[in-house]
Amino acid sequence: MNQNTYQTPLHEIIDVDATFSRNILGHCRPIAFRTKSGREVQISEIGLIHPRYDGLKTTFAFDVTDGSSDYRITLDSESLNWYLEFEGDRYA
Amino acid sequence: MPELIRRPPNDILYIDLNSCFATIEQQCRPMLRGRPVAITNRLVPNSCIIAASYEAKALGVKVGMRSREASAICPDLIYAETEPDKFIFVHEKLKRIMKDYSASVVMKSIDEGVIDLSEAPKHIYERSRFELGHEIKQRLKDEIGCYMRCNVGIASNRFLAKLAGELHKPDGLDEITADNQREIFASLKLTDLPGINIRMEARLNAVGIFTPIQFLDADEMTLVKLVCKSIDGHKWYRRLRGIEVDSATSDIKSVGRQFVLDGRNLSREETDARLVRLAEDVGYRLRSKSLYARGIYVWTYDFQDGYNHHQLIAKEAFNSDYDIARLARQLYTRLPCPVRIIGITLYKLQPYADRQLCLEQGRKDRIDSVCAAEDKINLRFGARKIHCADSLGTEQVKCKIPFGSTRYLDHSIN
Repeated sequence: MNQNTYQTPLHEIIDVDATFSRNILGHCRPIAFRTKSGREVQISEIGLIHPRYDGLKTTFAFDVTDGSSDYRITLDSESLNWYLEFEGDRYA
Repeated sequence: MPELIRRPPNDILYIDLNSCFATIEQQCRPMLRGRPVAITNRLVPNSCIIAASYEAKALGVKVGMRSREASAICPDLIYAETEPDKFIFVHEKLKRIMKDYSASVVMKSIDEGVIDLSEAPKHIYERSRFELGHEIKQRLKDEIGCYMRCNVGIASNRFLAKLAGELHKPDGLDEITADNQREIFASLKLTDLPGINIRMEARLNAVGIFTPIQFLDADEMTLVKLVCKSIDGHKWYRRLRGIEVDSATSDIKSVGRQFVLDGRNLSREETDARLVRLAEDVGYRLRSKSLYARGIYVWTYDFQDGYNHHQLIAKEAFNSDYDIARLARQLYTRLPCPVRIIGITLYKLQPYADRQLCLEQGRKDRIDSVCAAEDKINLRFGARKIHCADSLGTEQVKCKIPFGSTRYLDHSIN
């Protein structure tokens, strides 16, 4: 069974460059992020932006890709921290 | 003399997302686009595939297949676990788009719904149905994501509109009118019609109806007296002629939840904890609709697919987790162990407690108050921040995708 790494939560705090503008797919759009190890990922496409609710707390999940792998990064609306939640397998 | 049936205008738009869960996964993860993807509720070797991408379907993977079987057909199949949050988000977006066209929108399930344009504003009603269909398809791409596709069926009732939506998958847009209906029916089999399964097909065959055209041409009394032997015959006669007979909505008759146990060797105590967890879930659903139940039904499947169940009608209506768990455990102790699947269904629902005052009134009121406080805390601070100690260690009993009814999508806290 091809169990891809997208299922293993990382929950690693990251730095994110994002723009905020009026856009039908969401006001906040991440452009790039950097992990603690210094790896920089340039986002080439945003797949889906969806909210997740835990009581009254909302976390926004951004499913993004850099063209060679998929990532899920999240924005915690209470702490305003960004996290790298999942990183997908690389497909040739 | 046969009743003269006037066909209404083509005011029904049936919207159906294509391979919904798999397409949403491919929308989220661009690297999965163009690849065979299967969605399962759990990433275990024998899980059931609940959705497959078109690429996977082309290779022979079918919905309902076991993942072991699917991997044998398609070794490169990529599995992803369901994520209710994002499916509910897409459902809400789709519903919002549909509601921009008419006040009358009914979601038939998480991925399909009906727009009745007879209640649309004049400026929308006067537009071409094809133009509206194309616009909805485009809005789905603009407002959710570029990979999203849907079928749109246009007809004068829900039955024909659903059939129209299924004619050209994926991304189809078709209309069934009085003029093209016979031509379309001529290209279909009886089981291609929504609502005709193999048993109904056998009943139709028994009276000499073998094709959709023959079904359409059958007279009303044949359908009533020989095929359906009930009022359903009248309904089929009208349904096939584009008359709406499926618009009635029903009240909630039961609330249930089931769980495929996460191991073969679970002890009765471990299964009991999962039962309490299910009791908490159905209790929350019941209270979210301000309902009480009087009947409770606990059922199991064992490893030989043997079905066992027990049920009882309580003297007083109940809706607290405490009462549901107590009654469920009482019933479960009478059922054989070990089990593969376990489920609870509450029935005989009513909107009031209907209780007689009794000597234990104070205790019952306290249980209700504790339950109400628990719901408030969980709604404020998140799912299962507070719950019964007996359901500790049951994190594997996750919220799954509700097929069919969309009644509880707004109240998913688990």
